[in-house]
Amino acid sequence: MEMMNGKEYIESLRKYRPRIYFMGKRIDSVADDPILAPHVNAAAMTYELAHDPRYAEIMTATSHLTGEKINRFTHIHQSTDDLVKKVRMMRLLGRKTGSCFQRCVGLDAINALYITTYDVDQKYGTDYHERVKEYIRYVQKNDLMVAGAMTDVKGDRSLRPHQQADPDLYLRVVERRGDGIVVRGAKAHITGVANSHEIIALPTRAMGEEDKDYAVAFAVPVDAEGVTMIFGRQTNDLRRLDGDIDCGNAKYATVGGEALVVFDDVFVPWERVFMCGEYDFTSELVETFATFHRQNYGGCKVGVADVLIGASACIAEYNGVEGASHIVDKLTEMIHMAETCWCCSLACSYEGFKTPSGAYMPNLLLANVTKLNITRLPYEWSRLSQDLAGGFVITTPSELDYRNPETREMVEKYLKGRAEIPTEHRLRMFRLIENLSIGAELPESMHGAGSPAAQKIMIWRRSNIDMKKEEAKRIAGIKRDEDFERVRGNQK
Amino acid sequence: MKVLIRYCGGCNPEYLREKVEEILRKNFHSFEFFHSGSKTGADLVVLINGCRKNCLNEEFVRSVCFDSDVGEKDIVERVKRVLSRKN
Repeated sequence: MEMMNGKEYIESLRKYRPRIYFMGKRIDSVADDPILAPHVNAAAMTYELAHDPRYAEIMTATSHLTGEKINRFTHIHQSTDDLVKKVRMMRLLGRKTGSCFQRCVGLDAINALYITTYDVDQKYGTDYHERVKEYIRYVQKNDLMVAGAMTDVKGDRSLRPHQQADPDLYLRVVERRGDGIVVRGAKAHITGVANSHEIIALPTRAMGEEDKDYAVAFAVPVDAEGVTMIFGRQTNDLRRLDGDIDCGNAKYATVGGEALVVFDDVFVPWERVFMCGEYDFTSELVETFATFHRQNYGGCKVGVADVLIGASACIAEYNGVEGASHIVDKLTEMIHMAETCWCCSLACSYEGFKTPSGAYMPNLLLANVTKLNITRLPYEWSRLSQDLAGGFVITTPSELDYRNPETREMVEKYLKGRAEIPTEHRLRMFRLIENLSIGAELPESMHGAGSPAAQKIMIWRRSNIDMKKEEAKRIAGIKRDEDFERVRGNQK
Repeated sequence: MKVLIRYCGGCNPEYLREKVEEILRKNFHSFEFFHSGSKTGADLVVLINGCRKNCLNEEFVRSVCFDSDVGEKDIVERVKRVLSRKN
């Protein structure tokens, strides 16, 4: 099968009948639902741009399994160049949608499974790696969108999975059968799952022997029997039903459209089971997935920042203050922070390495630094954007009042900025800034791909503090400096 | 047995690279270790990278590559394994 384009992707969703609830009702058709529509549109761009010669160089790749041209979102990275192209693709799509395009989680899941299952098989003689390869061939051939489901609901955070009062608070195997396994539990914050074709579930943390039943990874279609999704609310989500101004980004919404996914005794055939009880590899799988996912954030979030910086520059023009030195200074600060995050994503990709499986992964330390910066700097660039835009970001009249003949002229007259700029442009830009700097975007920057504490643990583990101490002692004159002595002799 | 030891540039090593050489010298007294000169004159090439980026990744007939903090036993075994391999 050829790579799908955007329209074909949306049509392909009609073949699936996932059980999804939102605001107390079941969603009939993912392809047609107005609440899901902007998330579907954002994901559709991952398909559409792959067919555009202006973007195909980074949006497509050659499968190492089949030799076919594929969408890069289904690719197993074969070089550091692939890792770099991945983050370039993230920035491009962040900029094109001003939102989350959701498809990276599945990409990171297949790559993490590819690497870890190889290592599991080396130790245990299992055949998980071949199963993963076969599954990836299926995903590539059909150009599927795969949601990655990692975060368990976790219950009491002080307790390990097997210690929870309710054993289902981490996803687990409840039955092993000749033809497969049965799983029960739930995964939270699952990006893009409502409009995906497949779900890959991964363990959320390192497990011990007593958590063996929780050491499970597998793939199922989104409409597998027993899978229920409860779509999450977002700030201002119902504005998208009121027109196309008030939600700020009517076409692509904000962040990914996350859902709680419940697995209520879901059967998974063995060929789709990629880990089952190998608890000693859960740490590697989680760490590998997290590294891939944290690599992304200096790409996608910086692409979104491109849009926010552009919106901020526009509103400064519309307000007639674009030449003020403090405005230029704020915009420059925003650019500096965004490009700093971009540097991090590029660096961890260029410093990537080949794993025993043959696939490449980013530098772990630098990928975590990337994401830790994203837990901070978007707050600061959003603050600057709100600062230079002014109070109308949160007090602009609604689109309904702008459309109402009784109030339209008043809104037109008194919301006017520079004379030659239509008032509607100013309203739209205020709403876009509101969307990007106030809504779900910021908590997503904080917690997506793991909260700051998780990154700090990895940074501390990977930063070779002993080497730094030794260098300090040498410079301070506490330890010998042999290089110096060769040049100047021992001066003690 | 002539052993060429090559280090990566050491920009930001994740472990003490020099420890690998120390362990080799301690465990293989009869070997002659050197840091420069022709690779062809070496019976074994030891590549010591500071991280998994593996900036040194050339392959020789007999070479062993280190890129992370592994224990003494592992270092010695890996060298012995390479040496026992027939050319």
